[in-house]
Amino acid sequence: MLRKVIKYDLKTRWLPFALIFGFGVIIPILFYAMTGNLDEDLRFTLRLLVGSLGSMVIVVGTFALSLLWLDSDLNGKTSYLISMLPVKFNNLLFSKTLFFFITTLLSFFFALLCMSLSIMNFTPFSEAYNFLELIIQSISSEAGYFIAVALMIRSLLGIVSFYGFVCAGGAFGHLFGTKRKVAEALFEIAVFLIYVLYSIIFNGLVEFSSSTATEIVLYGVDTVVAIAVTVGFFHFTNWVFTKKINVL
Amino acid sequence: MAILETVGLTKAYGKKKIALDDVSLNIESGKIIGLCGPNGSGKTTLIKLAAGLLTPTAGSITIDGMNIGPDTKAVVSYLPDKTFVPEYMKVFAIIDFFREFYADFDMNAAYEMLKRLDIDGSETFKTLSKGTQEKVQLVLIMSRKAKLYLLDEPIGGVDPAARDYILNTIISNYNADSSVIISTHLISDIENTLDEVIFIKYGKLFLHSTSDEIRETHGMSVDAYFREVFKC
Amino acid sequence: MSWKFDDGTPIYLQIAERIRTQIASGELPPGGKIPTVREIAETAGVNPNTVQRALSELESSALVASERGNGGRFVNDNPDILNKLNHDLARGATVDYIARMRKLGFDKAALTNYLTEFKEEK
Repeated sequence: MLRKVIKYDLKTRWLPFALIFGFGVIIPILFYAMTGNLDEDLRFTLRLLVGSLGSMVIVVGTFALSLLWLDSDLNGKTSYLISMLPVKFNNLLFSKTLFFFITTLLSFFFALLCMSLSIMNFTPFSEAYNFLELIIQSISSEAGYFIAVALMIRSLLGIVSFYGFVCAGGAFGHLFGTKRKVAEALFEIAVFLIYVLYSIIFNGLVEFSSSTATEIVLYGVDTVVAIAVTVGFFHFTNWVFTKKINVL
Repeated sequence: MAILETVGLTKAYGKKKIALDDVSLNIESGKIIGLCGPNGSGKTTLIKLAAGLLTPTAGSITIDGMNIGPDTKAVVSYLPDKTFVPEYMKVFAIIDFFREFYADFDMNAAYEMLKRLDIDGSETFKTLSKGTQEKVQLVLIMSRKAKLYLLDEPIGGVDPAARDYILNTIISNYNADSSVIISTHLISDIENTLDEVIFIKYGKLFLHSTSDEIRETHGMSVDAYFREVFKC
Repeated sequence: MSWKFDDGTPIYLQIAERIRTQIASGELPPGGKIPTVREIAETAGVNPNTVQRALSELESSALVASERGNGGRFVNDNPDILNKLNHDLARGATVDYIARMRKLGFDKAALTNYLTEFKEEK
């Protein structure tokens, strides 16, 4: 059943994403071609501008699409159809999370591509690569490759965790019937504040850590916490839409 | 075995709104049943509970002996009184979708029905008239070989000719292994097709009887009796 | 497309009555096949179980019989049974007629006169 769900999600939802990514490629190229005759400085500024805007639109647009899709399935227009299917809710959730993860990564890639094509210069990619290398080096120098990889995974986990957070928000809202939007907003604000608090405390601890070993432990704990919270979010979402479902 | 059984089924929203109150029902296979009551009486709530779109506050509900879940959804064909087909989808696409997810979906029956109702499968759902949209949804639901059909107000917004076709489809689809529950307040139109009727009043089970019994006992049609029971 | 039914009596009895009339008029000839439950249900716009009940009624009064193993039903071609049917239906119609005429003020004698006149007219 999971395969069917993934196949169908792909079949019905690929187009808007493809359009965004496609435009992210075409528009910079077109704009580049159209601004060939301008004064050199102006030309570069405009191209950079379009590149930046385009990159932002790609990332934000992809995000928005994914979240709109989620909201539609959980509490919106497609919620009836989704709840009528003889499929475990887990599978539906997994498929959507998988898509979010992939499209988010793709959006980062296409954002870089958009920037690069705007100025016809692939420095954004190399700069992103350098940036990553810098991060890895600054940590590797102290604590080796292991932490670097862990941090990478932690970032990717962050993407999944964020989606879990949004799902949980949708689930929380679902419990409140017609007042769902308010409940959802309150939930998300509350969790966000807790997250900010946690980050402050965590970074504080890292700052004042006496040794690399402590740092490693802290990062380890952080990863475990992140995993637990993420699992918690998804578990809560699944519980609401299985045991407390209330499609209006 | 009962195809649908509820014991003390209750659905409440907070302390104030009790949509369904302690309803105990037993529905056998091979029946066409009318679920009747005024708007807001709890008919849709009962159907949604059976379809798995709501969870009970108290009491239990089982379908073919199973608790509500993906397994019951595989044998229950539910027609909501709302639009559920994504409007950007083409008719052929949603048929394909149903075929993928429901093992009991009869593709040929669906195409046949579309043809009979003169519906163009290549149209996008959004561009169809409301009446046609309802017909498409009905085709989807009736093309499944389910054990229990739950039809929530299937004939309300449809023209009389289509109404006849719908009732005819229900009759010709009939088999001893499945039951159809039709929720409606337009009783006179469907009365002749019903084996049994269930009256729901203010969320409570008022009556569960056969149409014959109502006629014999009260000397009037089910529709007339309904009007009497639910007189304002 | 569907048959019309009275409100006050169970539908299965009305269907049985209708089939009885069809047999008496020859529409369903003696020894001939009767449409299946499904066919009647679809034509009449009625629940198949109801039709089944109607046919069972007819079977119990031996007007209709089912072929062993075949499942199809046919009209009994026993002349006694058919005569009795005609007789019963005729009696029913007559009783109704007399009651209606009585309401119009015709007592037994007046009615007999009226019928004689009517016969001569024809």
